[in-house]
Amino acid sequence: MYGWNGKILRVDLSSGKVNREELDKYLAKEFIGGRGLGVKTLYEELEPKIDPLSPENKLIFATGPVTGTKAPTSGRYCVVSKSPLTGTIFDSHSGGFWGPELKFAGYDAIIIEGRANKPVYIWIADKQVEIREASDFWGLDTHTTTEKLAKETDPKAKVACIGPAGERLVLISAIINDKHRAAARGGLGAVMGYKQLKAIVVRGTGKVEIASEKELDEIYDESIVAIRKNPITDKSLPSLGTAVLVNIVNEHGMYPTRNFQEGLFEDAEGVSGEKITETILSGRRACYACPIACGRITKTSKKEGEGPEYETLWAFSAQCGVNDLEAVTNANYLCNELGLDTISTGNTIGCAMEMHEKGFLEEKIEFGDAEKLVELVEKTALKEGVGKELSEGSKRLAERHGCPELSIQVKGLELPAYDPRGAQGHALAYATSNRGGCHLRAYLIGPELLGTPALVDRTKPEGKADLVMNFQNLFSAIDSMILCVFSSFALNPYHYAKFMTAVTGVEYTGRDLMTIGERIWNVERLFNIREGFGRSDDSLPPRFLSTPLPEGGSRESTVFLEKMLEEYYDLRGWDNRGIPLNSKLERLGLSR
Amino acid sequence: MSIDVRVKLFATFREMAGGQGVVDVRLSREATVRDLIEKLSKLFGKEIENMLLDPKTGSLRSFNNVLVNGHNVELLQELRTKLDNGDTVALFPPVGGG
Repeated sequence: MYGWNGKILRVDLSSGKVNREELDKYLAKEFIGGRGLGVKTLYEELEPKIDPLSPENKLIFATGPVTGTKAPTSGRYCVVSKSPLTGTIFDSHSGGFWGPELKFAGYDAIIIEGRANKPVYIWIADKQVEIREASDFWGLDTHTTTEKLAKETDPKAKVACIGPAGERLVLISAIINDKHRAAARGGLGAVMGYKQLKAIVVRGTGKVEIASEKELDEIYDESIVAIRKNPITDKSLPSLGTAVLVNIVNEHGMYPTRNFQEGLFEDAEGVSGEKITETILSGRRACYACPIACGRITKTSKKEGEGPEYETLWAFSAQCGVNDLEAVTNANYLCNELGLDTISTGNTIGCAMEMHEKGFLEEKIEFGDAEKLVELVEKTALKEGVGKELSEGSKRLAERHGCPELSIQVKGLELPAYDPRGAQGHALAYATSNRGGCHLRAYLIGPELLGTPALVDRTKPEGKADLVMNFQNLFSAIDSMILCVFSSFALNPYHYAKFMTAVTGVEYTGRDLMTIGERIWNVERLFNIREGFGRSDDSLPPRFLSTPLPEGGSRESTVFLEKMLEEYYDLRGWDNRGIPLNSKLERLGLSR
Repeated sequence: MSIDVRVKLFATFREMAGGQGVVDVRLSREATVRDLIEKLSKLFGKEIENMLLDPKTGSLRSFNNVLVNGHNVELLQELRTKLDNGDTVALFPPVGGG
């Protein structure tokens, strides 16, 4: 095999057994790798309705065939499991350098089963795979863990680990690699913590076998030209990072403020990308093989680190009514060190603030309180005081206090930094995402706000179902190769297919990739249906359907969800309950 | 008769305006977005105009974002979009994110 190593590690933490398996060729061809490999494997291997925090759940760390090659933005990996936060199938992605290292060590993926009876870490050095004692590391933050584990194993080793939050089974906890990179959404840190797996440390000295170096060089050159020609990947992401979006989204009047009660944050300027560049920015960072380099190295009066990214900046500022950039940045650093999802954490704290404001929560948590914000981030990670409730995410928090409508999430996953009332297509994307309220399944903000690849009218529901479906299919394929979705500002299925063909030696067309993406999407849907999800879960919090924003460029509109949803099911080849028709499953090779 | 329009400049546009984020501009009553761009280029130099307009065709470069009261002019009347007293115009270079 080329591209793929052709080897999967299966580690049973209950028995301590490590098995090396061949990567199934059918799985590789029909599902590519990464997300596709993870979701199909779990669909086949997991019993329905298991408790995600039980030995029956499995945790898969997966790379794709192009991971660790020179393909631009190929430095990523994903973690796939049944999420303890949402109960859906869930893949969480991260950049940095850990993914390529796993490929260099000779593996495509690691499937972790069972549960260790004491804290352990997995050490992989090429052919050597060991389960080692981790009691000395349990309780340490992710930065200290990373440094100490590298000392104990190999200075060049790459570490993916959980912090105190994952250890305590916080439902919004993250897996952190290379200190500042996070597979954050969906609480997969808690799955790892339940298994008492502190870290996976990898050192790989091999390289990825390429089918045609010549073809790879050609498509590489073509892609670099496209990336340099595109102003987003060539200019604004490198120089301004993702935080540049703050002012834009605010000007469109859809920058969620104070738990999505408003769309305009009066202090956006003070916690914007421009402000970061002016004050705390000290350098840029690129992931493995990335020419874009959107990462930000920053420094506050207290410490140094990376970020905050756009989502994090929003989650701790506008969402909580906080205008203190230093506090927001410190909250960001804390999330990396303790291992928390910044989006879910900030969103949940903002929810608690509105709950207090409206009399549903006694604890004095108020919009605008920067000091309290930082304190609560720590308390959430450690499950201390009210942090214990916050650690379960906003859906459980709000339901427990009798105000479920104040929790801004879909399928239990807290919504990110775009108010759906400002962009109909993006609203549909939130409602239909297989992993819950997420902006990365189908980034409709591209066409609806940023004009990429072309501008569409964000106020209209017409034509959005088709766009959402196509983005979802494409991103499913990209998430399986694995490349960074930022590459899609400049590249399209033509490029992706050429990379796949050059690297693996298997002929792929753009259309093939879209079909594979559709297949992956449908498997995820089948998994969720089996878990009990249905049409009523393809929804949005009530305020988006009934209450227009009070002011700004997106005021006076609500989401036309039902209309778009019907069209979406139809285009997808699903019935009106959102269940894939047999004809669709047959065409995708998924019928039983 | 004249109108007053508030212009917000973001990212690289702000640099072109010498670091100013907000500029209040007075225009004639029937002024359009094109007139505004001309005025800005008089105030801050040709760089702003070159960034916004294709020199060959004189039309708006599509990869920019020019918003009038939160709505992209590409979906209004582009450069011919008429401005009213009290309007807010926001200028962004092409951006992306997550």
